[in-house]
Amino acid sequence: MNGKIFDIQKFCTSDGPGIRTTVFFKGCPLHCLWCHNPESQSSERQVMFYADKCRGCGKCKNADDSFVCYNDARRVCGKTVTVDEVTREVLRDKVFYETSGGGVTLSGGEPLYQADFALEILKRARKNGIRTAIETCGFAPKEKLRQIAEYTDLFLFDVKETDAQLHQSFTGVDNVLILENLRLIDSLGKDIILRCPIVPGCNARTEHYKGIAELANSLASVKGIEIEPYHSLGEGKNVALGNESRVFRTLTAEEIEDILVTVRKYTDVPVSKS
Amino acid sequence: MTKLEQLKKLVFESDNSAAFIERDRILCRLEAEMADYTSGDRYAVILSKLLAEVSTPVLDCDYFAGRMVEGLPEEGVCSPSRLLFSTGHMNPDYAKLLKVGLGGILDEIKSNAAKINTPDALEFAHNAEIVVLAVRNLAARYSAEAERVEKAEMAAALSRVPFEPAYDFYSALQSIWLVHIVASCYVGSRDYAFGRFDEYMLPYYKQALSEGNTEAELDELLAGFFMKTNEICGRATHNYNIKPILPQSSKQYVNIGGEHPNELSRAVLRAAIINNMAQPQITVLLSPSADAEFNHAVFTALEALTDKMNIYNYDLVVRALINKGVEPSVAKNHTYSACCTFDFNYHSFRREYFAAAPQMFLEVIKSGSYESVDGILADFQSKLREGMQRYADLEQKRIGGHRQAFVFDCLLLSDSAVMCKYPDSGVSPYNALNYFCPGVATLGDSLMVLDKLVFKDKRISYAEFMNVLENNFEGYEELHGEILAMTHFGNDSDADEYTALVGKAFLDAVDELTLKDNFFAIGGFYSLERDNVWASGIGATPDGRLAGQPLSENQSPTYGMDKSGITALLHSISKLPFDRTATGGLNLTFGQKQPPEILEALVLSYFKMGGFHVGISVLDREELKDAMAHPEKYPTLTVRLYGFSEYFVSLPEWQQLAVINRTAY
Repeated sequence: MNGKIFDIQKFCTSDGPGIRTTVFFKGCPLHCLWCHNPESQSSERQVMFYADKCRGCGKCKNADDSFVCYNDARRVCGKTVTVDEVTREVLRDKVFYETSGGGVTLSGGEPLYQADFALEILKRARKNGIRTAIETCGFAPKEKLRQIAEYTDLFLFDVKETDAQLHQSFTGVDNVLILENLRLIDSLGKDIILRCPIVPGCNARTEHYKGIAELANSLASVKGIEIEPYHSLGEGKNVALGNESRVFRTLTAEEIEDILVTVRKYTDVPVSKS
Repeated sequence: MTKLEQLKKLVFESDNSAAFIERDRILCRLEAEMADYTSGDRYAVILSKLLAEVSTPVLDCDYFAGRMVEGLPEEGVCSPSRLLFSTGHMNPDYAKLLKVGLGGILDEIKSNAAKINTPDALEFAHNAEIVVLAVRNLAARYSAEAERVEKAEMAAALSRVPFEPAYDFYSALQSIWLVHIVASCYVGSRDYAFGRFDEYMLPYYKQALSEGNTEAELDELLAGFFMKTNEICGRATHNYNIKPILPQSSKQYVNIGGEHPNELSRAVLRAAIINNMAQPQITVLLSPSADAEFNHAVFTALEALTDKMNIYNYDLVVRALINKGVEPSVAKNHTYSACCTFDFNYHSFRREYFAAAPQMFLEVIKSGSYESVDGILADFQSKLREGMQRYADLEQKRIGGHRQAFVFDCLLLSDSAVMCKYPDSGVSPYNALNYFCPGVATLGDSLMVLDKLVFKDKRISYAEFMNVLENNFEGYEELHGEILAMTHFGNDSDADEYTALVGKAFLDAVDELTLKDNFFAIGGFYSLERDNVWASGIGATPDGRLAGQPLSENQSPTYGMDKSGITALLHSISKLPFDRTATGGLNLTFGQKQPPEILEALVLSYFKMGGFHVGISVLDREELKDAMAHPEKYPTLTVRLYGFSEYFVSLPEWQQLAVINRTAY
């Protein structure tokens, strides 16, 4: 079986416990305004061009995907890979998972956007004794999610906005199905960590922090809440993709601490900064 | 201000251009006075006179006695190392010192000399007696001074040690320090290490705990002891603005761990964190399955001690030594001394040789036309062997040469003391010749490029490619770009096999050396600063390195060529044939702090894959750049160099840049 990914990153230490390999799926049903992986949104292959690195040699004109720019000014983002290929790459670091309690994490983009491909990778990981995690926005058909859950040890579940209408305006979809799916996973007894991007000008407000805490309180399997302050790493990638660039303000250390304190005020679930 | 803070302040206030002026003045005078004294005990008599005359300062903040008087070098006063010198680079038998005292060691020497009953042996014993009594006298004078300044415990200890056996934790540390300072500073040389410190000090530590001392009290005492090591080395590196003293830039290694880590091993880690200075270097001999609690303690300590700790794969080294024919008990008792160099503990001082592997490799490939990597490797190995054999012959020829009958170190190298022979006479059944291969990744990648571009793809003829190297890639910019874009060593790819082949050729050459039965050639991958200081004389290499550019450092890939993350890097490096090495080191650099449990998992995984050593550092490039611009703001900032910690502001500019330009993960 084939799927589209744009990266496989090793030694990931913030996508679940221990040392992990994260597989980044290409394609996402949401279009978050602040997306820090804008190259993940489209399911199509994309060319990223970094003008500041280009020496103008012209060799990339009409070049195919095998062309390598020595100056790293042109990068092709997105490739079709088989489950075997992904599994082989993931297995390379098995020794690191074993000593650290780590494993593989499927991220993106949205792994559930290619649910069958994700399912096969998770099955193969399990078969090889590797623990699994999936980072998801939760926007997926219930039946697919149920199948995926069977082979997933940990859900890193995004909570982008607790207000349904604002969710629609920030991400392009409302959060009704997403919250239903979150409760479904919870009912299956799967470990869940809520991952909450906080973006000034969008969702950086007290009602939202309170909403996150109340959501966590209403679920049985939430093991933690991770607050993810907005960062501007996606900006350069938007430029390289030729996208309109959206930049938000970054939070100060004091503001981040205040957010953590606020969320903690309303819940006993462990809250940390990611 | 606490005592420790005061001691630390004194280290940073001391003048790094000052000499051990009192020693130098006395020796200059003695050199003239004793010009005609040629008797066989000349060395011992000079040392004895020196120790009888030097001051015995004890400061209020001193935990232990033993301090050098410093002053700026004076015209006409030099440091006449021809009068008193040693080889250093060894792990003295401090276990024996504590157990029987210098008096006990002397008794043994006299008894053995009487049995051997040769003029040389008797003269050896005569020298030993003069020197031991001189140290006893120095201790007595320190004891009197300690009494005068009302330091009762110090005074009591020095009235007995180091001549008598140590009787408690404090007296053991005091005994070691007085002997250590005589060896390092008066007799003079670099890199006396502290051996298996946590083993031989354990009984005294347990006794102190059982007598009601708290862990915190003993940690402080240990930290006070460790602080002393900073007082004798200066704050400069060995190749730039060095302090004009014999132990200049010495690296003080404390070995802990091994088969049975204990409560003192953990106390050493705690004390090192309290001390947190460039010295000592905590060298952990990590047996991954020996003690999980100790492993956690090591990696927790690493958070504070990043650049000040070496971690060796103890089990792998022991196996490699046993495979070389070393007795298991000796193999298990191995140690390291500065810098990252293997040592048969107190058996002998060790020697080291950096093979000019990059130069030889270039000579080989330019000397003829090759059609395969096998041909290159065979000739390279042969050339390496010739160079290394010449060094081995030279070292072994010295045996029996008798530079002199006796040096202070003889008391602390037990085989030498037992046989009443100067250690350079090769008396020990265990002599280590460390052979290092610098630039191994540069050479592996060079082999890879030759194989792929010239031999397999036939993109360019061998002769033309040699011409490309002669021209330093000028006129071949496109080819140069292509070579640099190839996957090099360090990315867990097939390219790694070439570096492994170079490593194998090197170790094969080491194994082919003809040596006496009591000499062991210990091979390993290590560059020290050769990656930079040799670079200017080395032309372009096939891996795309331009003439004069740095070679790969230690066991690392060429910086910038490792592009696939740290797990790939460790997979790659573990492909080197470490199971045949026992010496050398690796620097692993992070761009930000890592949690201890992640570092532990990384290193244990690496050792599981066959990794040999790691020295970990965390770099903040912006801070380092600021330190280059404003050195006055960063007097205490340490960084890891090849196998040790250094004060960043004391480095030459090229070395500061080399640190900043490492690949950081």
